[in-house]
Amino acid sequence: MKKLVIIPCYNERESIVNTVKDIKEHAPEFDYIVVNDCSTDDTLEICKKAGIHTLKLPVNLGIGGAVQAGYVYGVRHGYDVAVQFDGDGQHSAKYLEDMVSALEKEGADMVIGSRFINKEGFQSSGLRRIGIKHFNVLIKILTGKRITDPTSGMRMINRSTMEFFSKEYPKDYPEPESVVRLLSLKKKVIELPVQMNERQGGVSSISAMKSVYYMIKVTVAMLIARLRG
Amino acid sequence: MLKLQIVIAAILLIWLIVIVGNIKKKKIDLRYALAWIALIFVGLILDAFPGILGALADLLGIEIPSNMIFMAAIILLLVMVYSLTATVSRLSDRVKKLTQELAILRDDTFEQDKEK
Repeated sequence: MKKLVIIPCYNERESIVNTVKDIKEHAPEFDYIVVNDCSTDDTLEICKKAGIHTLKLPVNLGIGGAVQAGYVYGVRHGYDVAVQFDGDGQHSAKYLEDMVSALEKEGADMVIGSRFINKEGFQSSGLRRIGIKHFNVLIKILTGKRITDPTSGMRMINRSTMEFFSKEYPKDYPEPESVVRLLSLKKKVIELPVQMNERQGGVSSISAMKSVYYMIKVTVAMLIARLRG
Repeated sequence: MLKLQIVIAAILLIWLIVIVGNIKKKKIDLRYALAWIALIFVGLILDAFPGILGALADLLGIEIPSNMIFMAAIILLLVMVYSLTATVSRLSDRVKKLTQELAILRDDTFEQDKEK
């Protein structure tokens, strides 16, 4: 079985080398691809020097377009499983094999690594958790399903979901919206408890100023994703 | 009245010449320019026969013909801006796809070179 880790990367100079090292050590069965979304710092040079396999997007696409580039790559190169994995040190590669087992055993289309099942490890900050709570409730109302960590960026998908996402995937803030989209299509989304760390470096793609816009945009996007059915 | 009509006609004609010139120089797409050319011709007709405007306003129950022009202009502008939004969305989708293709293509060629 061919398995791919997709690491979207924008200005992650402090953490990208360690992220790849973590994958090589703790998930050696996986191939990986870093998708450099036009970092403005020297991330790309650092990757080159360290011999890290990198897709170089010639213009900045944002997180959705970067991850989707990874999915297109995965589809073209015949991967059976792809997992999105943050380049900022928040995620641990030791969970990846368990996620594959869960994906296979449950016949799931997506496995989300959730911080909030066992409530261990870094739990995100107070305000963010309120936002996540809002998404929990909204997903429950829209799809009837309980997803504890819809904003998690650690998500594994099977081949058919990869093919679907390679054709359509939200451009920005894709996580909660694409979960609703999958659930609306009666795909199976399950969660596995994981612990996450605080980011090692870089800044979150969602700043305080943008958070109101983020909440509104994602809420509307989720409603529309449900309407598309 | 006649003076104003001539001035407006002149403005519209100059505008038409500019648009046609831009199309010839490939600065703008005929596809998108067509709406503007149509607008200029409508303007010229209304300018030549101002009676049409009054009759139309009467028909719609608008007391002052100029108000009808304002309303029509605003609606038209909204439609045009909206269609631009749609165009920009489509373009950004295409740029995204091309960007992804280019990145993967570069990677594939690079990896092949390495194997040689």
